[in-house]
Amino acid sequence: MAELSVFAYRQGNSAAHRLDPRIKLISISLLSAAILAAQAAGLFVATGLIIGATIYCRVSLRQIGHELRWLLFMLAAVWGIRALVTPGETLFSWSVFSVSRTGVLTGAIICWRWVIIIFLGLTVSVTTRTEDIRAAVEWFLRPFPWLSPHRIGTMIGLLVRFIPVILTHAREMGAAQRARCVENRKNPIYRLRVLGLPLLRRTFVTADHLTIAMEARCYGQGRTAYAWHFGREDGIVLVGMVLLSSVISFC
Amino acid sequence: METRHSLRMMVFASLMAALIAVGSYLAVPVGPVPIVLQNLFVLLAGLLLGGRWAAASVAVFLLAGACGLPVFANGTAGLGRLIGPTGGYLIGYLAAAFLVGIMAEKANQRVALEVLAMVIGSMVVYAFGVPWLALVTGMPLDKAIAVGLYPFLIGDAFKIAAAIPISRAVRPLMRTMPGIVVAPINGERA
Repeated sequence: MAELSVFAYRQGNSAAHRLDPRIKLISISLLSAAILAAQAAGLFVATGLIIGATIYCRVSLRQIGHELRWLLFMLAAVWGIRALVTPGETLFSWSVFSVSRTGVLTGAIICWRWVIIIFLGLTVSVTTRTEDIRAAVEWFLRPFPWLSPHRIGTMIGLLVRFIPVILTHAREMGAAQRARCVENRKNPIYRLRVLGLPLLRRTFVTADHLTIAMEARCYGQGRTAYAWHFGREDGIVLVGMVLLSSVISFC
Repeated sequence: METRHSLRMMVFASLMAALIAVGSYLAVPVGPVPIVLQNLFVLLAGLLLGGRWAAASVAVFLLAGACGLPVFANGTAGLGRLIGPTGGYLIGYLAAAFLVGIMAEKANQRVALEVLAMVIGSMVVYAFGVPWLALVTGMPLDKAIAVGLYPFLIGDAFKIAAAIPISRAVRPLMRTMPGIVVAPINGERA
């Protein structure tokens, strides 16, 4: 679940942890775009990079596999469908099904790209605090005059903070209702109502309390600014990522 | 300056976004396809918050996910999820929440219009999700509809039916804060 996921932030003091969050976001955007444009050779380079990064972040591959099992299943399904429906030179056929060579290859490349991009997201999630990502998002949204970056930043902070709280509420309600034999009720509308309504009601009451607490603490637009540390290493990483992305996309 | 109304709506929208994120874990196991609560919460965001704040709520959820915060299903994150096979549905949520919100504001709590708004909203989710699924998997559109639309229709009808009593019960909570009189701002109903 959300709070125990491999995707949650882990304390650490590695170079990846210390890197400016803005650089991290720029890097994953560049790399993702490059990977989407890349062919097999570029994907090999990216895979090497990702394996290195995953080991560096000390995330166990077994855990990742467990968390992502549905996603991997979905990707396998996409690959299978691609192999079956793409026309082209037939590799082998069995009754009405025929597997084409181009289908297998394009399917493999597409799924491979996704796996790499998902792992890229993982490396950022594991090494970056919510606060840092929020500050970086605010920084990137500054040029848009019709948006209020502070407000969006606060909303992101609240969203991430309240996921485990609401999940705990939901589990409590689920347990309370199972204790009252809700599983014997077959009417799905009833089931949806008794699950959704108390959860929503409790969330809105929480929101009310939170609003009062924020007002009591004089919440406003004049927030303490985030302290940015853009050092030499950040510059080097940025240049490196631009070079790497161009290499990957042209391979 | 933050007015009380906008601060409150901001907190509601953020918590609604958290509910949408949690919704992917919550399912009612009735029938062959479990009914996942995520799009129920998207529809409810539209009904309860109105167009702009509902869109803000879903947009914050998507933005946080795209930037690497683990808010998508199974605690995943990143652009990979948005461009993956189910990414179209996630983008569709944004349009659906906005449309349902706009129509619910106009509906003024008339049940038939709210139901219509949610039906249109659900269709919008599939209008984004199914072609994207077809494009990504290379399936022909009719097969994409068969796996990406038909299995969820009954569940969606139940969700729409459940959303009406839920929104009726929750709306009074939004109108007043316990112990505090909310002043109308800019002629808006607080």
